[in-house]
Amino acid sequence: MIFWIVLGVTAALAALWIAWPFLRSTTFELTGAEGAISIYRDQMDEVERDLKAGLISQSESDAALAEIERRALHAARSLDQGMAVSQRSGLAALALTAASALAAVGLYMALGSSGAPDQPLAARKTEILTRQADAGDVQSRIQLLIERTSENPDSFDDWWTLARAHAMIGDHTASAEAYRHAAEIAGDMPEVQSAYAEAMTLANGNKVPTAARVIFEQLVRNTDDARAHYYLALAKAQAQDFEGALAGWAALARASAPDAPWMPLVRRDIVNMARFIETDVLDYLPDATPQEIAQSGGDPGTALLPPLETAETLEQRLAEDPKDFKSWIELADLRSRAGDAEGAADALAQARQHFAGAPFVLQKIAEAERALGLDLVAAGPRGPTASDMAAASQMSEDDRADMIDGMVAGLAARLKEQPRDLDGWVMLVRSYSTLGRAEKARDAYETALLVFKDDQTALGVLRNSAGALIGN
Amino acid sequence: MIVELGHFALCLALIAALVQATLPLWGVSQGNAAAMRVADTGAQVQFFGAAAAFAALTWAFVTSDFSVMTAALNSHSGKPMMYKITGVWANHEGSMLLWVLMLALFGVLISIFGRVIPVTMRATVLAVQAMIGVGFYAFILLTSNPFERLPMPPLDGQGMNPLLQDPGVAFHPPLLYLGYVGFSTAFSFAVAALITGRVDPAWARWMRPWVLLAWSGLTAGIALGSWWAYYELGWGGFWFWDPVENASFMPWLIGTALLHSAIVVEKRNALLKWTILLAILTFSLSLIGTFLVRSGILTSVHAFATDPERGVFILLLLAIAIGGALTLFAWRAPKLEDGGVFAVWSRETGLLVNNLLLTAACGIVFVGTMYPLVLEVITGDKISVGAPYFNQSFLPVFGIVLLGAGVGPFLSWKRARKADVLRRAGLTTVITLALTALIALVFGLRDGVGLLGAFIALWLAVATLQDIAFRCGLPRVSAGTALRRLIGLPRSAWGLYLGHFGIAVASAGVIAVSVWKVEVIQTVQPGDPTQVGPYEFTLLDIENTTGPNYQTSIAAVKVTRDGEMVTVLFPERRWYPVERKPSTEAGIETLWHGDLYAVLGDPAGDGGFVTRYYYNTGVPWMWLGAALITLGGMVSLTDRRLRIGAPSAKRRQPLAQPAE
Repeated sequence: MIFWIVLGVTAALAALWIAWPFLRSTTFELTGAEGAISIYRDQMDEVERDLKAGLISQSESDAALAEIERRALHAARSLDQGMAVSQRSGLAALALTAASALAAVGLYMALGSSGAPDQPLAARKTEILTRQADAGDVQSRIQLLIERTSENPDSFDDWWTLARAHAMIGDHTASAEAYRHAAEIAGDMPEVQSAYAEAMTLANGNKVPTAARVIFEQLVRNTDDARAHYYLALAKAQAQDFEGALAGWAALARASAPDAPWMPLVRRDIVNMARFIETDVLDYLPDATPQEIAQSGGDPGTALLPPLETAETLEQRLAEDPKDFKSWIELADLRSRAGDAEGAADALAQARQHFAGAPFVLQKIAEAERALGLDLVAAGPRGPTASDMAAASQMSEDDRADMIDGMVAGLAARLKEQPRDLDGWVMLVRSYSTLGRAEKARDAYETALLVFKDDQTALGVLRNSAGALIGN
Repeated sequence: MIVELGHFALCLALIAALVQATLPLWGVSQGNAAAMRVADTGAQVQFFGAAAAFAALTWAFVTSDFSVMTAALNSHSGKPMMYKITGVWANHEGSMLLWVLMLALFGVLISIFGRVIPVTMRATVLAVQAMIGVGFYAFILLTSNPFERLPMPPLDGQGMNPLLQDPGVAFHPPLLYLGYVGFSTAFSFAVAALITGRVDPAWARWMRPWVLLAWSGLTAGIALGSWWAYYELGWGGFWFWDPVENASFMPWLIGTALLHSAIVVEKRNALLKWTILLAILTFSLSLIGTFLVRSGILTSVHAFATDPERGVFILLLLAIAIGGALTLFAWRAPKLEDGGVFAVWSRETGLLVNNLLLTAACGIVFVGTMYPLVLEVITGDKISVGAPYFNQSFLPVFGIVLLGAGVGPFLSWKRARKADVLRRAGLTTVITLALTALIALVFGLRDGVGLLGAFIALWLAVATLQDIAFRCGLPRVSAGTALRRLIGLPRSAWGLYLGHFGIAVASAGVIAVSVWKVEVIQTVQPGDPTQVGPYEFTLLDIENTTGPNYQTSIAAVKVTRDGEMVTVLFPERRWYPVERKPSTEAGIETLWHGDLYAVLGDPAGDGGFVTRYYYNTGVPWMWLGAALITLGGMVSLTDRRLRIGAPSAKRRQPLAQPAE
């Protein structure tokens, strides 16, 4: 509406200005040769100046002046011919104004996209993020959700989704913060409280903080929330109350259906803890498999598969190529089984250093650590955190290259497990070509093409971005 | 909203131009002064519309509004702000809009500062000006609309040619257009003279400031373009005789002729028809230059075929404008009476010869430029007319022009004393010969063509200084009197001297660099010295870094002379990732006698780099000369008699007297 008002007023004023001469009072205008006469006067001045400067003689000057006068007279004769009258005419003005304004507006309406808004890039951030999020980019989805929550901080759903998205990429600190908002809005909803407390724990490096424990304790009193039971037991373990922890997990295992989603985790922790405090796992887990019994240090042997490689060969291989996180985890596993908890923790710590920039691998390492129960027993160095990343900016050139290598290797590993990640593949191809590894870049590109072979849109994106990078 | 208002403003400009092109002419035929004055208000509204449209398009570029197709195709959000703005006219649609904006600007300037021009003449001139405008507004709105919107705007634009991301070329088009479009005023005055049948000294004087303004802008624009080619393209060359350059050079040559012949009309009421013809031709060449050559419509049959709508429209417009004007000329010119008579030995003859030579020079360039284009259109054969053709045919003619420009000011109007002129020219010859011989001896120069060129440039400089001395009365008067007279010289005389001296300086530069420059191309390892004329260039090291929207390798090249440090040059090779194009930035150190010039090429694989080193003698003189010529035009423009606006009170008073 404002658009049409501005447009209309502009059209009317401009058209009125065009017609303005018809609204002036009646005047007579000389249209003749007055200008020409002033020129002849200038020419006479010039002749006189030249005469004074001695550039021309008296006779030349006289001749020139005579000629100029003759022409001036000729011009003056036509002076009275030129006369025009300017008459006020409201009707003419009105007609001209209306015709001009209507023609301009009409022409615009025929050609223009009337009322189409401006779309400066700054105002299109949301749209761009939406498009990227639709293409599967989690960061963009998170950015969008952050915007949504800042615009509408009272929406439980937005905070809830944001918290889960943060958790998905392993950013548990941000996830806990988002859950806190969700919990404030939802009040005493047990499910929310439980998720919040869990996020706090994860953000705290899987150590149950007091605030989380209070929430879990409250939940245990009022509900049968499995998560609360699990983490309370974990908290006991972390407080060196290993018996209590085992009892808690055992109780949870008894109370849960055998196929409950958390059961593998609970069983694993029971097995690890049994091994650690050297007790019989069957006391706590009556249906333990032979393999579990073996892992718990009970009956060594039969079910245990012989290791494919010895620790020594693994160490050797890792010394040559440290960019193989699975081997690191395997090494930690071997050492842990051999009762060398410290050595196992050390292997994982080294792995963390090599993959400092690869969140996915760090997550895998943390999972392995927990699976082996190492996080409870060994106080080895924790994995790289934000401060490590900041330190990376002060690294030497070699260290940085090493860290970048680690990031790329981590990305490759992640894509192997979660291949339907278009941005990930593009980034991998770009990383390889930036590092000058053309062959790897090509391999990655071809793998990506296979992964997305049934998705024309994704193929297009791949060809345009990644394909262009390697000259396809 | 802003973009759409800009689109509307452009429509408004077309309507204003339509009114301005018709109503005032009706007023002239009916003696209706109000209708005539609509030419002024129409021109003002037209300018408002064009300026608002241009501002809106600039807004779209600055805010990266990619819903505007022109911005989406030619801009990018990551560009520095300056190139977002200059990107507005670095594409077809935007440059067309700049073109009509300039046209409207000249119109509004005439409506405001042309009050001294009688309303009949002003109305006719502005109406003709508006007719050109109507054609081009329609062309823009119907075939090249810069405000076309995209329903699904892309996430980012496609960027801009990195070669154009440079301050030199960024401001080259506005200046060039100031020239091209400025000549439309000459065209309008010429057509108005044919329509009204009135050509007299006053007419020439009214037209002159506009021609001067346009000509100065064109001079500066050409120099800036040449300067850009010199340091950006990285070949050490400054003029390639390619169609784009020739397109701007042809109007300049004919415009220079027009500038001189208009003086004859003003002073002597002679050469009337010839001047009108030159005015029409100058603008016609501007049009041909902009739309046939620059647009690429004729350079490639293919381009024409892909967009026949634009091509046909342009051809039609040119046919109407040029053909119409020439037809009008053929019909009306015989009825015009030519005034003053003059002797063979006179300034009139001198200027006429100047005109003929400049026209011939322009004809040579025209043939060399258009022949390959026309041949390709007709037969499909591709030929290229290169520098040898132009050097052999154009340069001799232009050499004679320069010699003539030296003698011309010696001639007085109507009837010159032959003996005086010959005596003064003889003195010029003696001094110039002595100077040329001195230069040849001191610098050990033996190149015959080079010395001939040096003689011609020196001749013009000596003759110009000699004429200044003569005008001051030297050597007959005391130094004090001479100085007083020097200061008292009219600005138009200063324009003449600055212009001619500038041409001499620029020519000297062109000759020096053509004949005596040193060029060395080699692969060097860092630390290897290379001898370039009297200088030694050494590549020190190469640093890789990033600019605002590009990656770059910057080399440091040390230059010494006889072991003494002269300077360090920093040539660059840039890579623009968005546009996927490289560009070079030459490292240049300007000394008074020439440029030290280094270009960094590709890495050679063995740790070495391809480098091109130049010692370009005389190049700074070319830019200095061009600046002097432009300055001359501007100084002449400020001459009291040409000053546009209200005449001074002293001259107003006696104006009323003839009626007594």
